[in-house]
Amino acid sequence: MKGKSNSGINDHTDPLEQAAEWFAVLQDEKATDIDREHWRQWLQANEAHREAWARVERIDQQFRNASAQSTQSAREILQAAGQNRRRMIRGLASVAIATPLGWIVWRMLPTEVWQADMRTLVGEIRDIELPDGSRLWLNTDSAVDFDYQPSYRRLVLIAGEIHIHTAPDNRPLRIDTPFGNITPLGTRFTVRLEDAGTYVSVTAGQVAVTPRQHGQRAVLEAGQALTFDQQQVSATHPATASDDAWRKGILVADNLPLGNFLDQLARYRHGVIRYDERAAGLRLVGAYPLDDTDRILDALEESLPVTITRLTPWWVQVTGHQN
Amino acid sequence: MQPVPEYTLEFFYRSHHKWLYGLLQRHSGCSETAAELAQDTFLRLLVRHQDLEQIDEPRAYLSRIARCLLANHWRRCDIERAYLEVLSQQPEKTEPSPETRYAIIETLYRIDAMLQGLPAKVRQAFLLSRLEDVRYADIAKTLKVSERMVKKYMAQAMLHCLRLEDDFLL
Repeated sequence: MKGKSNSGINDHTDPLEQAAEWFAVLQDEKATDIDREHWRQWLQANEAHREAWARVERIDQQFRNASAQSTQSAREILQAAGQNRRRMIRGLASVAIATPLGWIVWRMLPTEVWQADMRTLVGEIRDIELPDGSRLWLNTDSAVDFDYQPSYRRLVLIAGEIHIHTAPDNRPLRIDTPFGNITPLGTRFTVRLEDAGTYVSVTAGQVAVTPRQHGQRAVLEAGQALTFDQQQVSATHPATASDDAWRKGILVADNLPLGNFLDQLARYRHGVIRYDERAAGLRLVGAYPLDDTDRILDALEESLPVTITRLTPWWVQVTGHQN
Repeated sequence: MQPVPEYTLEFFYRSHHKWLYGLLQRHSGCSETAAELAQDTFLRLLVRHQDLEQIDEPRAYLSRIARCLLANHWRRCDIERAYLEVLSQQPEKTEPSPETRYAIIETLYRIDAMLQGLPAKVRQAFLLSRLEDVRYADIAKTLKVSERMVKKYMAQAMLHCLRLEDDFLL
């Protein structure tokens, strides 16, 4: 019964109705690979399906934009506005009542990101000279705050990834991240904020990292990398060329699974890149200029047994060929 | 065939603008809003390329558009007020620029407009999923319905938006 849950979709003849049903199926956290495969077949069946799906995407994108743009829970605001409308005139108090729903996840783009001292847009890579002569590169979609005082220098990594060449200075330098801080000891290194921790990779010199809650310091040498969260530090492993190639605008793949590569590439583009398992496992070697990510996708299609479908500009599907 | 002068937009405007403005002023209680909405009403008429000759009751027709615009206006005010209210509860440091505020209110208004006319639970399910990435299972718990129902709501809301788009294209 469960496996056939989608079979009803084709009972509708209207492509819009079918597209809406597929949307509801695919957004479900319980959606399976089989569901997605059926959806793909439906999509490939004819042009009307693809058109309907593109419209679904476009509508959904408007809601996604609202959630990314607003500092506040967009839903709460709309909810509150709706209550006003129904003339439940408790005055503005209705807004206050609507706000403290404890379980709500405030996962809008945090205000700190677009109010940071320095930030880059998706696809943008920038470098700047800091007041002390250090040089800082910001990778795509990143944000940093500066805090330079007579007695110390501090950078706060709010989002994304940075690479630093430190300049000699008497004041200590510290990079704060939500998971803990990093103290360079005269050096060149990269710091990247990931969902579950902070990634650090050292190109030259030494770097000390300190997780926020567990003050145990770990020291990294040149050529080493590790990830730490608030409690602990992972084992060190060799740094890879791609850790700092991005600051020259290049994405490097050194025998990298295509899935990982596409995840990295997605950071430089708006929208999503989806891939199937067959595509994910393919290995990739090469250096790809980041200034035109569409060209990278084209190049992948030429050199690997994959088909790239652009359902909309922000929805790219990479499908591996059968054998 | 030359259009009959009475069926030009200009003629329409001259004969009914003052009346429409008065109507809107009584309903909105604000002369600025009334002037703006009266202007918008005629603008609508212009973009629709409606054959003016076919409008039997010009004033009934105009007031229908105007009422709809007025309702939108209130909706936008409600959203703006709710947004500013939530904002005012935030620490001062997070104050966005006027441009950002405007853009946010505009976006909220647009998506709110898309979900107009849907049952409250359908609307809520859709907003929870799209704006806050809440899982179907958790939406089901919140709304006290089954997960299958949540899936149905999601399809219903999306179809509603799709059809609405169709209406606008007409």
